[in-house]
Amino acid sequence: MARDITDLLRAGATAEEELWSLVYQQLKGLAREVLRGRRRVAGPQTTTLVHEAYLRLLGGEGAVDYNDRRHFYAVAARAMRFVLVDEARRRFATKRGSGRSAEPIVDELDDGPADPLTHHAEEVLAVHQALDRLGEVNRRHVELVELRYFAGFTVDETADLMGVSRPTVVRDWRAVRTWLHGVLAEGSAEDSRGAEAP
Amino acid sequence: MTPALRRRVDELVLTAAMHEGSWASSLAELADEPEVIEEVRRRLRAAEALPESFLLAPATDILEAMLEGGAGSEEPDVPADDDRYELGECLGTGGMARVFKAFDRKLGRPVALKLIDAVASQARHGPLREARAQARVRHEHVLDVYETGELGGTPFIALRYVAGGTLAAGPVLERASVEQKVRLLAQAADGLHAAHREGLLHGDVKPSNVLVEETPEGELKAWIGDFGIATEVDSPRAEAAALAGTPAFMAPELLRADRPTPDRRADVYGLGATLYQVLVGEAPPRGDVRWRLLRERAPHLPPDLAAIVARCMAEDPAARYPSAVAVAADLRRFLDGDVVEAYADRVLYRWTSFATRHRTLLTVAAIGVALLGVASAVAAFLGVRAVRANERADARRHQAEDLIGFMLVDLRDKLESVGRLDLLDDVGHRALRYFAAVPERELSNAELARRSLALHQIGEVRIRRGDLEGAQEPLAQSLALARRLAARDPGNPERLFGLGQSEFWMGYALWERGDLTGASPHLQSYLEISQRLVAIDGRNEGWRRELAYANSNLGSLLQERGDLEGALSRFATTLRIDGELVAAAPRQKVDDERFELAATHNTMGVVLEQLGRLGEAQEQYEADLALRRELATRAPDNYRWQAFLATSHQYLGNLLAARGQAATARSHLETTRDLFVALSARDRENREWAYQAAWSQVWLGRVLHEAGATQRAREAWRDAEAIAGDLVAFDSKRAEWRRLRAVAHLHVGLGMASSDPEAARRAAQAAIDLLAPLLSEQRGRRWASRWLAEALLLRGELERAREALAPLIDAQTRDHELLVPWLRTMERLGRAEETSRARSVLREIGYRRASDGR
Repeated sequence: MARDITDLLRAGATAEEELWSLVYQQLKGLAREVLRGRRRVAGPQTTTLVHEAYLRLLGGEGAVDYNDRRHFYAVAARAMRFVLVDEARRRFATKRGSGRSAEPIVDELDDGPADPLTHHAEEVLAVHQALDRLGEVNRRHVELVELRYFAGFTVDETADLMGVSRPTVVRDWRAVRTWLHGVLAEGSAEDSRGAEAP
Repeated sequence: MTPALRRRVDELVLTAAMHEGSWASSLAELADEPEVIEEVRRRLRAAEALPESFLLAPATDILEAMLEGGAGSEEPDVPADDDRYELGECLGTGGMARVFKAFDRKLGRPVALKLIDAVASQARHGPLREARAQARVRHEHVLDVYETGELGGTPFIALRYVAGGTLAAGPVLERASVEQKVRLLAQAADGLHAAHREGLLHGDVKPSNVLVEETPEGELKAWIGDFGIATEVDSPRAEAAALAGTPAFMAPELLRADRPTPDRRADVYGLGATLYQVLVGEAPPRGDVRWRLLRERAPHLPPDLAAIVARCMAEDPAARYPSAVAVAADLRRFLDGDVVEAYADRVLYRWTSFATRHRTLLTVAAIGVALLGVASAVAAFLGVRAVRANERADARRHQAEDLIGFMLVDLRDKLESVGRLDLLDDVGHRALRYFAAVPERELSNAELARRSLALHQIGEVRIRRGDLEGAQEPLAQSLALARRLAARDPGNPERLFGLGQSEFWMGYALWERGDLTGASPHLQSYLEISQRLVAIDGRNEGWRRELAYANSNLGSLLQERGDLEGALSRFATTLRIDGELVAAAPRQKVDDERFELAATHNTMGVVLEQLGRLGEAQEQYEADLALRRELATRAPDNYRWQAFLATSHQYLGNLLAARGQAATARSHLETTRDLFVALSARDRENREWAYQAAWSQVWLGRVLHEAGATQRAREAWRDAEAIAGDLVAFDSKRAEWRRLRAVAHLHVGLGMASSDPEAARRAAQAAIDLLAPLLSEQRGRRWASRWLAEALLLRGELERAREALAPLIDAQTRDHELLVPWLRTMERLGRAEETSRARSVLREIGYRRASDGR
C-alpha cells in the first residue's frame, strides 16, 4: 500500500482527490479515537496524529522518498486542518442546537471566552477562515500554519518539510502570527468566504 | 473597503511583520492610499499586543479540550427515526460508520443499521458498493444485507441483526472454549471463502468483524460482516482499500513499497491474526511471524494451532494457505484430532525461502528437499506425530521439532548478518546430543537426510566462528551419513544433492585449515555431483546455483595452488552461470542473484590481477562495484550489502593504485574506510566489521604514504594496529586476526622507518614472528610471503626476503604483489639482471605505482 500511496503522492492533480480522501479518513479516525478517550493527542509516549497517519499509510518501513514525505505531510497537515475545523463546527452545532438530535437540547447560555473549549473552537475556525485570505497573499505561509498549528510540527520539523532553514521558519512564523492576530482582532464577522472541506 | 484594497492591506501587513522593526519606515515609503495605510497601521498596532501564547499550542489540543468538555463520547447527531425503522441503541462505531440496532416495522424484525459517515460517503468506498458486495455473497456465515437507503440524509445499510457480540469482545466469547473458538474461526473462514468465490476480498478481517451468535439451540455461530472495504479482486481499488484496514491484522504485503496486487491470501493473513488474538487474548505479533516465535510468546497455544496461525501469517503470501477454505479444513482437522497440514508446507517453504536468501549451499539443500515429494520427508515426520499415545514418540517429536527449528535456522540468518553466530553454539551442542540419543536405525531416510543437513550446518557455524577443530566431527558424520544414504538410494537426486553438500562442507573445512590436498577430492566430488544434478534437470535454478559455486570453489583451489589459468577458466564458467541465473530470476530474487554475480566479478578480478591483466581486472572490479552499489542503494538498511560495497571499493582502489591512479585510488579507499568505520560504530559487537575497518586502514595508509601524507598514513596504521590488538585480545584463536595484527605491525614499522629506525625494525620483527610459520602452510602462502618479504626488507634481511619469495617467482610470474617486493629485494641485493627483468614485466603489465612503501 505504501507504493500505492506513493504513486498517488507523485501522480499530481489526477490523484489529489483520492489522496486527500485516504489521508482525510485516516486522520478523522484518529481524531475520533482521541475523542473517545482512547488516545492522547500528544505526550512523551505518543506520536502526533499526523505522524500516526504517516505510519499507518506509509507503513513506516523502508525509505520513503524525501519529496514524497514532504508531499504527504503537506496534504496531511491540510487534512488535519479540515478535520479539526469539522470538530470545531460540530462543537458549535451541539452548543447551539442543530435540531437534529432526538433529545431536547438544553438551551445553554453563551459561555463566552471564559470557556476554554469554546475559545479553542473559535480560534480554530477563525484561523481557518483567515488562512484563505492569507493564501491570496502568500501560499507558503498557509502551509506553514498548517504544519505548525494544525499538524503540530516543531520548528525544526517544519523547516525540514518546507525545505528552508530554521531561522526562516522562526521569522516567518512570528510574522504570520502577527498577521493572523491582526486579522482575528478585526472580528470574524467579516467575510467568511473560507472554502469548505473538499 | 474593497476586496482589492483589503488584499493590499494584507500584503503590507505581512511584509511589515516579516521585517520587524523597520515597518514604520517601509510604510512611509509606500505612498499608498491613505485608507490602506491607516488600516495597516491599525492592524500592526493590534499586533503589538500579540500574546506569546497565541497559536502556540497546536490546534489538536482542541480535541483534548473537547474530550474534557464531554463533547467527545456521544455522537451529537443521532439520526431521527423514520417510518420504517425504529432506532435503538448504538452497537458500535468504526472509522466510517456507526451501527445501530433498529426494528424494522415493515417486516417486524430486528435489524442492524449501518449509518455511513457523511464525509466517507463521498469517498470512493461508497456505501452502495459495500452493500452490493456483501449482498452478492449468500452464505450461512456471511451477514445478510437486507437493503440500503437514506435515513434523515444519512445513507445506511440494513443488515441482519446478530446478538451476542464479536470475536473481539462479548459475553459469548468469554464463555467459549478453545474448541468453540476454533470452530467459529472455521465457520468464518468458510464465509470468507464464499466471498472470495464471488471475486471479493474482504480486506479487513479481524475479530471485531466476526460476529458471534448464540443460537436457540445453544450453539455458537459465526458471521462475517463489515465488508466495508471489500473490493473486487482485480480492481485498482483493491490496492487502495488496504488503507482503511487495521494494521495489526493487515498482511505485510499491503504495507510494503513493492507490493503486488493483494489477493485472497491477504484475508488469510487476517484469519490467522484473528485466530491468534481470539485464542491468546492479545494482539498478534507483527513482522516475521514464525512458529517458534508463536510458541515462545504463547506457550499454552497448542502447537498445531500455532502452526496454523504461523502458516496464515507467513510473510510471503506464497507460504500461506492458498485459500480460506484450506484454513477452515485444517482447523477442522485439528478439531478432529487429525494431523494438520500446517507443518508440512511450513517446513518446505522455510527451506525454500531460506534457500533463496542465503548464500551457501543450504540454499540448494532447501530446494532439493522441497523437491522431495511431500510424501517421503513429511510423511515420516507426520508419522511420528500421529502416534499420540506413544510417549516415546512424543518425546522424539519434541526433540525433532527442536531440531527442525534449529535446522530452519530462524536465528541464523540474522545472527550471521550481524556477526554473532557464536550465539548458536549452544544450539549446536544440543542437537548433537539429540543425535547421539536417537540412533540412526530408528529414523527414516528422510529424517536421516535432515540429520545430515543439520550436521553440516553445525559444522558450518563452527567454521564461521573460526573453530575448525570443532567443525571436523559433525562434518565427518554428515558426510558419512550422506554417503550411506546416497548408496542406499542411488536414483534419488535429493540424496545425491545432500551428498554434494556434505562433500562441499568437508572440502571447505579442510580448505579453511589449509589442507588443500585434502580438500581437493571433496571439492572435485562436489563439482561432479553438481554437474550430474544439472544434467538431470537443467532448469533447476538451485542446482545451477550449486554448479556455479562448485566451479568457483574449485577455481579458488586452483588459484591457491598457482594454476591461475585453470582458475580463470573455472571462474569464467561461474560467471556465465551467474549471468544466466540473474536473467532467469523472478523479481524478488533477482537481487540475490546479482549479489552472487558481483562476487564472481570480484573473484575474476583477483585472478586477472594476479595474471597481470590489469585492464581486464579493472573491468571486473568495476562491474562488481556497479552491482554492489546498486544493491546497497536499494537496501540501505542491509548492512551486509553495505559491507560488501565497501570491499568492492577496496579492490578497485588497490588496483587503481597499482595502475598509478593515486587520487582516484585514495578516494575509493577512503570510502571503504568510512563505510567500515560507520558499520562498526553502529554495532560494536560485530568484530567482523572492525576487522575490515582495520584492513581498510592498512590499504588506505599505503596510498597516503606514497602521496607523502605520512602523518595521516601513520595514524591510519596505528588505528589498524589498535583494532587488531583488541581483536586478538578478544579471541586469540582466530588466525585471520593474528595475521591482521602482523600486517598492522609491519605497517606501523613502515611508518616509523625514517623517524625511528630501531622501533621500525622491532615492529617488523613482530610481524616476521607471526608470518614466518605460515610459509610452511599450503594455503595462504603467497599472501604470507608477500608481507613477510616486506617485513624482512624493512629489517634489511635481504637474503631471507629473497628466500621467502623465490619459490613463488618464475618466468611466468606477472603478479605485481609478488613482483614488487621481489624487485626491491633484487635491487638492494645488486642483482641487476633480475632487477631489470622484474622491472620490465611490471612495466609491461602497466604497473605504475609511484614508490611502494618508501
